Amino acid sequence: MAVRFDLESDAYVKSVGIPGTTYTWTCWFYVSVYRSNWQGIIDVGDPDPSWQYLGIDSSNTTIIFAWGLNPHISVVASALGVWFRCAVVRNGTAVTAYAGQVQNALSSNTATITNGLTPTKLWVGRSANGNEWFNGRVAALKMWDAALTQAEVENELSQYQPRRTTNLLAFHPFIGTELTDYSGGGHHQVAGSTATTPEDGPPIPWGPFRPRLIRPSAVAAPVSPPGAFFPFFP
Amino acid sequence: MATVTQQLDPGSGQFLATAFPALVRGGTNFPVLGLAYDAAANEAAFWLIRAVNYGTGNVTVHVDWYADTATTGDVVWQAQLAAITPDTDTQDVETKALATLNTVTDTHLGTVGQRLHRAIITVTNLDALAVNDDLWIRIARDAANVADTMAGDAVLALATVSYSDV
Repeated sequence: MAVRFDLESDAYVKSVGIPGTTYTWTCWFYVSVYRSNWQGIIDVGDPDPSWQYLGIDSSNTTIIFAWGLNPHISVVASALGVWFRCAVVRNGTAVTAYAGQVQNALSSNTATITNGLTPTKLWVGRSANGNEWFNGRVAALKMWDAALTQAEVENELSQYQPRRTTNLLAFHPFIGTELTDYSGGGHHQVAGSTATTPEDGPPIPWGPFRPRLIRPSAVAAPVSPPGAFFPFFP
Repeated sequence: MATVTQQLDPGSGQFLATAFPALVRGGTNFPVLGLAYDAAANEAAFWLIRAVNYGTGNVTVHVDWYADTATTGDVVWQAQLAAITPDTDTQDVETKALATLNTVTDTHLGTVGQRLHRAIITVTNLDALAVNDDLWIRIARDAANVADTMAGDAVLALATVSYSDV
């Protein structure tokens, strides 16, 4: 499942567990309705206009990354009713934004943040500018205070569960409208004043296939505790 | 001869880019992770296993499912296989076709909407399955079938594949 946002007041926000100027976040999103305005999907900036967000441009043609009042960069063409996977990796002043439709390779573009913007909040479903709210779904949001490689980003976008737990700051699967941070850090989201709704999520599994020991059912169970000799026995 | 059973965890199911069941999680006292198959569209999930010690005969697929909202109606479940013998079959794995599907119609037993049911599909179209083949399994809800009359999602909580060993 995923969380559907369709109002400014639906957006989630938190100001705990926010990284410094080195971070990565990954998530999946689905544009349900275009608006005649910019749409911020994930933003780590605040207040307006100190945004650092991935979103959709006002002409509804392009997935962009925008920071402060600087010109934004284009990442990939936008589309309605399609799941996109995306990520933003910042390492000091260097930023790489990734996005791609579910059936396509990731596209990317880079930028240099020279105006000293630092993350202060995590907005989900809008940018730091409240008029730039998102009309669509978000799922499998993860954040680290480290700059992941593209291979790591691709790996993380292949499933809900985090594969890398080192430096993990937040894990919001959004299977439903819950606000809980499952990273263990307790960095929970705060809901807006209006309720979000659950909708179908992206085509990714919860996690990897778990190794299992296979044995014929007619064979007697081992006398010893299974874990002693069969570490993958369920 | 004995029976080998392998579990298909809903959390590790794979999907194509379209027509896939939604991953859902419910449960009051313990988490219930499942795949919610729509009532209006044919949706499918896939798993890959190795057919360890496969001997002979049909493959049996058990689909443990519950209704999201309904308390009556029938669900048509499909199972489909694609088997490849590594080092022997020259078939391109990325263009491999699935064998003809097999189905079963399972009826909601009523009383409690989210009670657990078990649909048993006997898969007779084995795609020349041989011992230790890599075996792709597709499980779908045939929502477009007129026999599928249950309203709302059917949630797959667990599936198993079983067969006779060598």
